[in-house]
Amino acid sequence: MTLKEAIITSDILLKVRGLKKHFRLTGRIFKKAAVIRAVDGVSFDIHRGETLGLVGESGCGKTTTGLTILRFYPPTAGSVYFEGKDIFQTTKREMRKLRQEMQMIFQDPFLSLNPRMTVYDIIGDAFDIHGLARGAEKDRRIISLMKKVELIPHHMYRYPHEFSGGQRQRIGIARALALKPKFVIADEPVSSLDISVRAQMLNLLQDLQEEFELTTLYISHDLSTVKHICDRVCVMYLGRIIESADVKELFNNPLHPYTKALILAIPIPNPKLKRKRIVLKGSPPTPIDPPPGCRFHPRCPYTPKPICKKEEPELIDVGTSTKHLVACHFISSNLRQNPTRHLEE
Amino acid sequence: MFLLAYLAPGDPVTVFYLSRIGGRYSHAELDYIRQMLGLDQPIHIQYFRWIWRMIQGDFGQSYIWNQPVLPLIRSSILNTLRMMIPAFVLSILFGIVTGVISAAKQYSKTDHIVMASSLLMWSMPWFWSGLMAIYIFSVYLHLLPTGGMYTFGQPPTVVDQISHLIMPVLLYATSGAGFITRLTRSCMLEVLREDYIMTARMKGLKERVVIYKHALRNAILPVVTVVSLYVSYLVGGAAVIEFVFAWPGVGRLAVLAATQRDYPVVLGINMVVATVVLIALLIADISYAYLDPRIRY
Amino acid sequence: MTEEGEKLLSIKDLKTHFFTERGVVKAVDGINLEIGKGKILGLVGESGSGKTVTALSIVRLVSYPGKILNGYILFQNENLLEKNEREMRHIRGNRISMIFQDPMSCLNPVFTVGDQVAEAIRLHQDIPRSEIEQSVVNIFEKVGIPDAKKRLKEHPHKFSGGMRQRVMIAMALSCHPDLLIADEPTTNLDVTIQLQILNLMRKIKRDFKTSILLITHDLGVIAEMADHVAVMYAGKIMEYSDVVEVFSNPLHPYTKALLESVPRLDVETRRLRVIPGTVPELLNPPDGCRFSPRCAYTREVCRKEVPPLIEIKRGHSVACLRMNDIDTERGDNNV
Repeated sequence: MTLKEAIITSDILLKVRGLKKHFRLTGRIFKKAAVIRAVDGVSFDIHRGETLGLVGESGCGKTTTGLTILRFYPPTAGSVYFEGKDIFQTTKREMRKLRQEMQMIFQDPFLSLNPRMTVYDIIGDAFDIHGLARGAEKDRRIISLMKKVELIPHHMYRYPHEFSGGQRQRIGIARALALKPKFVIADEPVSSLDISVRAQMLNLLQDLQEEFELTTLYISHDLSTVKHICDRVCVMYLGRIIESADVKELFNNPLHPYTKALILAIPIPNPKLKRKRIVLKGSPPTPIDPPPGCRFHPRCPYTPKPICKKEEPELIDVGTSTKHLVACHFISSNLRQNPTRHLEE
Repeated sequence: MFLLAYLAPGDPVTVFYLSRIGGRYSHAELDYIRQMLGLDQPIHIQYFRWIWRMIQGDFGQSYIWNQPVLPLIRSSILNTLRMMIPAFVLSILFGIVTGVISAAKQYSKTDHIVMASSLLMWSMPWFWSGLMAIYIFSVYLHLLPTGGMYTFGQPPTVVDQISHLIMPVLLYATSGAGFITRLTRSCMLEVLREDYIMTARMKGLKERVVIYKHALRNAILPVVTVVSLYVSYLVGGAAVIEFVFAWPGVGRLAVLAATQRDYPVVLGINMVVATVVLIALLIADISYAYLDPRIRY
Repeated sequence: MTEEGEKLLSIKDLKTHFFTERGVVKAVDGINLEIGKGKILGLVGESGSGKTVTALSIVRLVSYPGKILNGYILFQNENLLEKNEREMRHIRGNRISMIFQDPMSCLNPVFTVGDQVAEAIRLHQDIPRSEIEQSVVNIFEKVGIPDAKKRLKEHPHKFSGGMRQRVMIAMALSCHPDLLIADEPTTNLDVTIQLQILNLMRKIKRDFKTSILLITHDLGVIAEMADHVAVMYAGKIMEYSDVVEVFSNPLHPYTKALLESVPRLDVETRRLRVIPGTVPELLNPPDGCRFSPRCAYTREVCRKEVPPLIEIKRGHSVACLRMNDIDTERGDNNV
């Protein structure tokens, strides 16, 4: 058992229930205001010490989910419990305290760092805002954080543009960790980086997770990385979670046809490997007007039955040894029958 | 606007009659004139009366010229447009062409020359350049008339009119062209960095087609917006140029009216000019929708 | 470099440098490449390795202050570097065409997609005006744009990312080019859409016998698509071979490290191999082997001498001075 496995407990740190976030597009004359159902009823738990992956294609609502949990967006419906406390019902002062414990690492390290602030100010800002450290103590903490993310401490009076992409992401991580948060949301933290730098960052994230005993929500479209870094995975499609399971279970035994197609679509750096692919037709519909019934039915490789077009499937546990939640009407029959459409190679 | 005119020191009666006629009127007579013009009423009554008349198309009487305001403005605005429209068209054509050329040849000698001269053209004050032009072309070279629309005492021929137009139009146009050149150049440079320009080059198109078809069509969009705002600037500038060249246009009228507290005229000009600017913006918006398929109303 | 089959394109000792105010950026610094007829050459590298500049050099569209200094580019036995601009225009979009990374920004927003494709056809093919629309419809159907007749009258903003890339491919294929250069064609697309586009490119290669230069940083895409692979780093080719050889028997330390540094679906890895440092700035590239500051096997000689690209087995070339030693030796400079 690795250290990582040891720190995962059965204790639930973050509980999300029926989270919805709809955006209203301002209506034009003669047209009804459209509603984007970016997140449309999402529920999941994150255990203390765990890394939960939230995967899906662009527009599936994964980033909105993360931002709504941290109350960057006001939620449309649902609740989020952090250590048993409903964070949508907290006062402003309580929320400020909670912000210390919940942090975010953004996708683009350049856009998320204020270009006019030095690294010292970017990292040290959190200490000032929350009144945690001052003077020599603050300097000491900043230096130790910079060392932890493998930045050279005497670069602390430099500005973000003087660093490479990878180093900037390290600054972003140091800032997020400054307040010793319990929970971190990492939104595509490596996707803008070069391959060789990406590996450095993934290893760093793993180390820091162990050292700070972090619970992480890892949002990404890159399944290879998710498989590498996450303990459990939720797959999202058009604002809904359609499958969730332990990482090994999900990749070895994907049950939802979308998950299957998604995993098979990932190119593997092994030219000798020949796989049967399911090629999904078209692109995901917009979350403005999601299809009725199962949201995936227009692209589903199995010919949809009438029920798929009418009823939205519930997320149910079909796992044998571990929990494995799937939202598909024909989950058992899908297991037996072969896909009928969109098959290639 | 109305309030501003009201607050200006001195009322029209005092300014006009005292200055012109030299204080030969008694206070009773002045009061009578005020009463006739309706200036004895409280300001809000004056205001609503003015609005009500304006809606009906009556902008009131000029205090000074003793004519209805509207025909006065109409004839002067036609004179202004006679000068401004050719100037505007010239400056747009010239500005866009030179802007595109200098963007296409960025950092070349042509580019540097165009940039320097456009800056000069754009930043020269009209009262100075106007006077210099009059000095050189009229006084010194005797090529062009010094001002006015026609030569007095001669039948108005086309040649005569044009010779009067040349200097104000060119002066107007060069300044505008300088501005539009710089604007077009920066918009073009931005567009030339876009990926679809590379796509167009990759098709094997001639550079000329790439620039004038693919790039210009996109670069023109921001130019249209700014140029429509520039119209109001031009109208403001009309006052200076018209004064320098004694052109009986609306700008000159506005200045004359303002210095003599002829409020109905000043306010009328304001309304008309504001309408003209609004129409220009509307035209710009409509052409924007036509030029950019992403915008549909 | 020798191999079977006819050559479509061979590049010898190509140097493209950028003369900036801060100094000379040696973006492409003496590279050799070959693409066989009807084959896919995968060009892998990280950002700043010079992949895109290589592509632009082939079609001679390197923009100011870039300049091609040296070498020759033989395309169907003609040296492209000796062509004048008029002759190059006849090649671009006709015999060599290109698709780019970001399908969102590479179509002109103010023209309909049909017009943009038709423009290329009108330019290079001698077909009557009345038939152009039909040939656009045909090519749209070939690249899988449904409802082609209606859609070609629409502007790009009405198309999704995947569909725009199909339009780009349609435009590129409209004149049946011999070489298609695809610069990161799927990087900004979702995986399910990426699969559609990759399948389409495979179909193009099969049906039209088009050679493809596939530029990407995604090793998975290379493994699935390419016949041969060239690994590029800081303006130099580090390794070149056929795809199976590169992935199963990589010889250059950079290739090896790169393969071990990506998380993979098919292999269980606890810990990724890390290449320390970052991609060097090409304004002041490191002396000697450009990978030497980050390499686990660096010796004094690597910092002094530039390793030549040497064919060590049939069709497998490597640019490394210590290649014969590293099999027996564990990387010791590795962190």
